Amino acid sequence: MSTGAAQPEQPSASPFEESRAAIPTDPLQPAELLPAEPALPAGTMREVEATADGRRITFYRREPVE
Amino acid sequence: MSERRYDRRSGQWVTVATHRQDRTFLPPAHYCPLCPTTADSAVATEIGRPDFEIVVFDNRFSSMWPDPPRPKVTATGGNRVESAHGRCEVVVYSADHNTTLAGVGASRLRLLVDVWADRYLVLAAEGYAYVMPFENKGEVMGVTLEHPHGQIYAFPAVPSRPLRALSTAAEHRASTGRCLTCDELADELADGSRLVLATDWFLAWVPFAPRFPYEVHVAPRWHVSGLPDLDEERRDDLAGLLARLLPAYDRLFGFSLPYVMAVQGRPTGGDPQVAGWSGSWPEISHLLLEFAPPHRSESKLKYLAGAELMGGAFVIDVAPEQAAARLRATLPAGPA
Repeated sequence: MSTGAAQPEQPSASPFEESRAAIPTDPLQPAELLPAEPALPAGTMREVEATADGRRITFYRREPVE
Repeated sequence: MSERRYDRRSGQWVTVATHRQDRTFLPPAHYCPLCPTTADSAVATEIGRPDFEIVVFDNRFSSMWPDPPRPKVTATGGNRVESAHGRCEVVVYSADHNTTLAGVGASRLRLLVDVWADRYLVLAAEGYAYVMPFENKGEVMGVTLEHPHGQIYAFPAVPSRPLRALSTAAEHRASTGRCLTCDELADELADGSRLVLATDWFLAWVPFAPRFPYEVHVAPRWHVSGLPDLDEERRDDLAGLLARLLPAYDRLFGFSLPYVMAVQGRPTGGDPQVAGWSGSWPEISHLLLEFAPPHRSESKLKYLAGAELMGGAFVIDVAPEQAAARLRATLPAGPA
């Protein structure tokens, strides 16, 4: 039964509580290295050219992901 | 002249590159060398295409060179000098002269993560020992070209500051068997008061003892030693985090916030024994993005003065927990 009196405020949850709960592994565990991925994932393109005075210039672009 | 001289007192290498006095300095927009070359261009720029997404090229005013000249000075007595071997690249983020990294969007940030990882591998294959992407943003940070861009330096040896961090990490690994940054991340997650942003794979936080009031570090929540080890999902996640963090910086004081940013990770070469470690670099390296804005308030800058520059003892004016709370409050909404 409610007395009508103000209830004491519950301490608000840290905005990171949910994030903490979502950690899938304990970061204190020595984690094995992630396998190296190709430097350029599918959809990322690189074109190497030269500037007018011969310096290396590389153009990168990324195709929209389907 | 472009040569590396060793400072015996500090143990640091200093590059003397006198030709950089002549580099382009804050030209008007229509003479910007980082804009695309179009039919309307006043001059041919560095980039001979009318449009591009991200472009990387060797800096015209490099301080280090793949084929450097011999030192001009003769090192006498105990002095040491060597050729300035290395590579300095410019990374132009956008063809749009008037945007910033905060404004390019998540898709371009995602491409930038790929570019950083790719340059790491390209420059590592060329034999450089440490590859460091960085950005100096804003005139107060010494920017000489306003067009949104960063840089990548490929050093012949691990520079003194990351080397010191690696040495500290080596001591921690030797005494505890754990990664120093992994332990720091666990502490920050447990405390929570300095966290700015947490995604599935990355954390952004104000360090417990920062050098600048609104300094933010970003690191993967698992032991990932360098950019090339990030798979596509983690690269997407990092880009998404940056797409929220960078606008938060600009909302902090209501203007595009200057900063120095650097990506630190495992060395691409060299012997870990220089850091006092008998194992491999990945064991003591943990990928880290550092953001160091110089502002301590809307109108005041944090200067490196006597205590910091001469004593190496930083004094800051904002509590890190307060800085983190302010940054959290300025974050744009995340993806649903």
